[in-house]
Amino acid sequence: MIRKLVIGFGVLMLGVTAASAQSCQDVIDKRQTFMKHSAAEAKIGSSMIKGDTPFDLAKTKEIYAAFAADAAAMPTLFPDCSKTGDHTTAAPAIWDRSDDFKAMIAKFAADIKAAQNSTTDLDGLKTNFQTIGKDCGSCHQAFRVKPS
Amino acid sequence: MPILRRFALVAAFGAILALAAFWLMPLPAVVPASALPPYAPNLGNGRVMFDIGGCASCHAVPNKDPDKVDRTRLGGGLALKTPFGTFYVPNISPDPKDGIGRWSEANFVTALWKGTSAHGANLYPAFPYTSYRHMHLNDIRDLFAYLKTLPPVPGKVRRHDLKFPFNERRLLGGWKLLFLHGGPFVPDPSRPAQWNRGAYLVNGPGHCAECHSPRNMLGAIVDSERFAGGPTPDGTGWVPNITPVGLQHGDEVWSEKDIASFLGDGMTPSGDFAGSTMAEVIRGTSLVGADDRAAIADYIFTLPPVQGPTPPPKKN
Repeated sequence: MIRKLVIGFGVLMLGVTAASAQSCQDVIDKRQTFMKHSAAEAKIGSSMIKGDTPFDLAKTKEIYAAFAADAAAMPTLFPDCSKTGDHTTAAPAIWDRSDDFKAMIAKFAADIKAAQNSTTDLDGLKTNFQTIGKDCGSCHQAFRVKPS
Repeated sequence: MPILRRFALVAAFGAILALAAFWLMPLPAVVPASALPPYAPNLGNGRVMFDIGGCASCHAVPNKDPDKVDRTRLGGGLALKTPFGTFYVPNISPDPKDGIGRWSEANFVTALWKGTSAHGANLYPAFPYTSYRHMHLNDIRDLFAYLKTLPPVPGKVRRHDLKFPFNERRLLGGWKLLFLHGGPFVPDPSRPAQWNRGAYLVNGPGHCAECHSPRNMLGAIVDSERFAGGPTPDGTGWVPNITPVGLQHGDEVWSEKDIASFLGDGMTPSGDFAGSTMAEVIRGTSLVGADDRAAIADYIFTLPPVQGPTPPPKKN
């Protein structure tokens, strides 16, 4: 009986570890997907700003919505177990300076909200994109490492 | 005297002479004040040289939050980890005691052109005088004048922490003999003005090759692979190949316009944003005019394709 319990417990623990290991891997994949999606949206915005495509307010709202979804999800996408693995370029500073990291995400979210409330034309997109782009750059400078 | 013994004595004497020559010969060269004609500096241009030269990126007092770095306070202190040990970036604020407040113009030109300090000591090429030596004299004088307008920052920075024999500054004389060549940039008359401006900015104040090239065991750029990428100085990352081999293949394909706009806002063709040390570079280049960024893009876009070292396989 005891033996069955021990084996059962062992199998359960293996399952739990496997599940949490998978979810850590999932988290890395998920945040990379979020980022790549934001990049694709940023590219659409940049194309409008450069004049390569005509300004489209509906598309602009989509771009901002994608960034906002990013900002909302990000605080949950960096659990302790996801510091390494699957080509992640998340810098140790995310965990060493987690308050600063969260503050940066909050600024990003605030700047997106301001953009959503104030953008009605191409000029609005240009101005807000400058601010948001600087947020992208600042966060990446402090909290992202080069691929090695 | 027996032949072998005589030979040994001559060899020993020769070795001592050679060592003495190596020790004494490469006395740091200087640019004397008499070599500088009278000149009224242009502070606006000095500011441009400051931004493209990236002075603040190394010499500003560091802060873990890059947004909090005050680019006008050049008190130094940043630690640069390299295979030779750790360099501590010096104070170049106009502080007369702890910075370069007592340096003359000629001292400053000497530092950028010859890699020699005001005290006559060799400077380590962690300070990229191998690129700055291509700068025009007046650009350097403008830069010096601009630096003097910045606030003095007290506080001497500690000495470098280097492994033997790299802690022997004298040996840099030999290094310079081997690796420090050429002088101020000479334009290519067969190329248009914009290209030449780009070539000057990239190879002179911009010193792009200093990060974007592989280095040999003595820390000098491998000339045949200039701009072809290489490991970061601290060995933890990879700096990309910016010849067409790097820019025209792989995940991101760059147009000349893409390069110019990237230097302005850090955004890559795929909508990604430069991170890590390149984000720091963008902080400087984003302050420079669109014409200069277009010139840099022009030059970079025409670099011959060079296959550099292969980056290590991505860690899992």
